[in-house]
Amino acid sequence: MNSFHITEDVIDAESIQPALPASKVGAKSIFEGIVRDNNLGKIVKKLEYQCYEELATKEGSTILKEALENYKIDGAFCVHRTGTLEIGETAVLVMVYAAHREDSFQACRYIIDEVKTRVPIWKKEIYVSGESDWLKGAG
Amino acid sequence: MQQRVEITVHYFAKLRDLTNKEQESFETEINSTPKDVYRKLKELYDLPEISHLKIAVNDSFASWKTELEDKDKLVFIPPVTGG
Repeated sequence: MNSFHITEDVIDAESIQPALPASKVGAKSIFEGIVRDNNLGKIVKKLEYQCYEELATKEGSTILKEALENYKIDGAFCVHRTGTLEIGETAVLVMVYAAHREDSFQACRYIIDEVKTRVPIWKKEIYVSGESDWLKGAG
Repeated sequence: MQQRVEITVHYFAKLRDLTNKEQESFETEINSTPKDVYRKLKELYDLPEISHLKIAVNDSFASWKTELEDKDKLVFIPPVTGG
């Protein structure tokens, strides 16, 4: 189940059932990044995500591989949305399976933190006022 | 006569807005680096400073000093903001 995906389709956490590894799994951690209606004092109407898909898939897969090497987990899955997203929709979902909660929490945190700083995906905020702006990022 | 190579440059996010292009062919001298190409593009478009960008050549992260070859795909990568 170790896989990273880019999709234009709605992400529905309930419908994602990655093939479970062995029955030793005792913990499943899920992180969902959701589109909210405000940022830095501006009212957000919707978001537009652009993605350099070839490199994003490659870098995302590398991050999952690192998580499997560095934490005692049995599986990791991540999907990131592109295109136009409305308020309340899921932009990114991370799912980690492990024997114990601590490893699943830590690996889940590692994956989302690395995805946000390394995977070539960009977010444009479209405001209620009619203005729009690409977020500047940490770089 | 000096040899030239033709590469494809792809733009994303702010760079796509500034150039108003998703991609374009670009002819440059043989042994040009991404840094050389960016310097020329910056004269054409109002692009940001080089220090804010990373680059990829043929879908892998690469150095600004990479020597570009004919038909290479070059992508300038603004700071990412996924999640």
